[in-house]
Amino acid sequence: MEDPKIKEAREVMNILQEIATMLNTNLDRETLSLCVSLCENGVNPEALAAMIKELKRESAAQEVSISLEQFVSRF
Amino acid sequence: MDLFVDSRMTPSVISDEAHISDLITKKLMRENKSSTKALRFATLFNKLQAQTILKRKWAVLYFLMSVSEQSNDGDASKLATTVLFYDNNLHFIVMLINDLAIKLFDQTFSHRGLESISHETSKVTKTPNTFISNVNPTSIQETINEPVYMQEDEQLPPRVVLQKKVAETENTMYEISEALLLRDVVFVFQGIDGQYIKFDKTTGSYLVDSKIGVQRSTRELISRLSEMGCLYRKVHAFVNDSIDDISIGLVGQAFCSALQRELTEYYKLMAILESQITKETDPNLSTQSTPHSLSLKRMLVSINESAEKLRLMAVLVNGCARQKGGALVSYIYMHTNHGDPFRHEFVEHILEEVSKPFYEMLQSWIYEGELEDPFEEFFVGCDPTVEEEDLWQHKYFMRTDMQPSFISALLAKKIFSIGKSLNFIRYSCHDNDWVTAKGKGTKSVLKYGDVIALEHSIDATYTKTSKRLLDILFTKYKLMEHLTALKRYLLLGQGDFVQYLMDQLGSGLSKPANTLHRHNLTGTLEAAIRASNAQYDDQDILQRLDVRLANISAGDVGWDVFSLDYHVDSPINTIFTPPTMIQYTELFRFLWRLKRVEHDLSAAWRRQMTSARTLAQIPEIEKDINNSRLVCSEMIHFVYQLQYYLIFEVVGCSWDVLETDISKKSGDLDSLIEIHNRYLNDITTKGFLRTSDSQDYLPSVLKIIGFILQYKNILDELYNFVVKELMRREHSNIQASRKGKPVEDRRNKSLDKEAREAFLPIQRKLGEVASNFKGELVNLLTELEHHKDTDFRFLSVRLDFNEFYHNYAKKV
Repeated sequence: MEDPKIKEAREVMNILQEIATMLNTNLDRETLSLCVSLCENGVNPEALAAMIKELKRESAAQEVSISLEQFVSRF
Repeated sequence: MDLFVDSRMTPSVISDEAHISDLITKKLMRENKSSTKALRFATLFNKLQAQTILKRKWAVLYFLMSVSEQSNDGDASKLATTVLFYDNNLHFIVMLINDLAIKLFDQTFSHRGLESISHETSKVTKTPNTFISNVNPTSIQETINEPVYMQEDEQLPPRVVLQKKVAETENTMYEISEALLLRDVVFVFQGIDGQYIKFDKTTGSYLVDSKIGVQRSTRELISRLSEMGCLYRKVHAFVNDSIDDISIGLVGQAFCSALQRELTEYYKLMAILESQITKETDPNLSTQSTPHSLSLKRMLVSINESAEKLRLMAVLVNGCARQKGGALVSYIYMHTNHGDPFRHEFVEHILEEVSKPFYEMLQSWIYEGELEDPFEEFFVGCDPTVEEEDLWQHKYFMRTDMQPSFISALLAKKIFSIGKSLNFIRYSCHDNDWVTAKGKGTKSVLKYGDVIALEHSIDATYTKTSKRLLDILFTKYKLMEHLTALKRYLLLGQGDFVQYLMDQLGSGLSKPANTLHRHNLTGTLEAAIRASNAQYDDQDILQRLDVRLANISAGDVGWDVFSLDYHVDSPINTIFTPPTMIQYTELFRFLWRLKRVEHDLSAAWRRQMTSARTLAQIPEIEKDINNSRLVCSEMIHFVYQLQYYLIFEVVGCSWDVLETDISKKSGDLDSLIEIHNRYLNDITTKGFLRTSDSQDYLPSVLKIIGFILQYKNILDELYNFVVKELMRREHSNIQASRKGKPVEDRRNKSLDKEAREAFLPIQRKLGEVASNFKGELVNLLTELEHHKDTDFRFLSVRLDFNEFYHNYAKKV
């Protein structure tokens, strides 16, 4: 039998995951759980969101540069 | 990245989960038309609230919401780039966007106005939906996101879409610290490329290198700051280019120096900023930023005033290209009319400096009459090729495009006149001392600002100078005496002189013109002067009187070419210009002609009187003689009335007006010239010589005069005939008495056949000319009667005093 606390935590995570998908956050379960625990530990949620946004943009930019290379290489 | 987490940013919402859930619900409702998601969220939220494991539920929810907002944008940008590159048709996309933009623009500003936009956009946004419906349902799941975002993208204004696309290529990461950028910005302020901020030639502005990670907001801030750099470059380039360029003129150079001074102020500000930055970034001092340290935003505030100044300077520099002198002053003056007191004062300050050379020119012009204008910037110009004779009329001219707009046309005319008068006094009236004394005397320094004071001082100078000039003309150069002399001799005001001249010249002038000799005529003229009251006139004036013979053409008699002349020299020939003198000559010739007619008629009358007894010896012609006496007296009446009209009504009245106008002594030489010209024009117009409207009486008057002269000749013929006839009779009487025949009574003897034949044509001609005369006179009278000028109407009344011609016209 699982620890009821872990069970409760999983339930909470399920709910939060559903909300996250609903809101199009594009966060996987692992990232989400990390972020939630950060929030629980008193990190400013707004700042955290800004950081996530920044990280996402960077990865997007990388993708762009890769696709640009592919595009150029066709000629 | 650390900065984000460490930052003391506080969430912009209250830490209340219910409130946040509300926000999320609203957001979901906004994004999805159906409420299923919102409902689902409500149940999830309820479940979450039941849980106790989370202590900061609001924080988690808030985080999710924030990320959600972001995720939309991120996906959109991702999509846009993917579309761009995978579609392999970059051009097409760009064209599509352009097309849309143009279409939207056209629609927006077409007559249909804004309402059409909503139609247009809905049409456009519909396409993706229809596209989806045709696609295999399984693929919808994959593509569903994309068209939705596309739709969202296109709903934005096209400019924003484009901007968005451009923004993708920018690195907006936070990598460069503000201190470094600040240092760069100070460089940019001085028109120098910084390490990160470089001048972009295509856009003509300073931009942060797109590869360097700088936040979007910071980029914007820098682009606002770097406007200063562009403006500075422009102003600085202008000053640099122009300062050595002579062709921009003195005012242009003053403008440059004013700009230079402003730039020095600007440099001071730069130095202060720079020292502050160095102090803050100095590693020896604390690197910790204090609340008072310089930031980009702080910088933007602190340079605000200088930016405004630079902007104004750039505007002035832009507009003043290829303008110089007064035009430049006008242009800058135009900018002082600004509601903003700061701008107004600044431009005024610049204008004060710029207008300095202009006012210096103005001063030397109105106080010394000198034109110190090597670059043709002043609104008065001088033509050095014009002789001194024409100094007043043609030497100086106005350049209206150089006339500053704060100087009214009237004031400019006064200024123009002052300088001209000074030069006239100096060069034409040779009164250098007065001008020099005046130049050295008290004078108020003129400068930009008080236009009323300027007007005042110019008015005073104008009155003083004009008065002085008129004084010189009237005392030293005896203008009034000349005017009187012209009236007396050329307009036949001096009766005894004219009478004597007519008596002496009358017979001589009937001869062909080429037999006249000038020296004989001048001799007669001198005799006439000596014999009349004219001898008491000023010698200087009498010496100016001369005889002039117009160009002789074949068939001319002395009457046609003779006229009196009056010599005028500098400076009074400014008033008595050659055209004016021609007018005087024309008037003289007309009056002289009338005088001649009068002279002839009085000769005829004398003959009639003296030969009345002789004529009575032939009773057959007595009726004709009597008739001719009546016609003669009609003619005399006409000529006397006409002369009276011309001498008293026309010349006399105009003279009176002239005298009163001159005695006012207001205005300058120009107004004096105008008064005199008006006087002459009045005389010529009323004296039939120039027509004021379509009616021209001169031919009619000349015809009448011609008839009178003809009549007089015929009368002479008649007398000659009578004398001859009487002589013949005397002769036959003597012969008869020799032969012892009884002497016949000469008195009642009728004309024999031969004499009758000689008499008839004379009789016929007399009748003809008399009726011609009457006919023409009646014509003239009817025309005069309906003239709008009362003087002409009065003349007609005087000529037809007892309605004699009126009745005559009725009979005919």
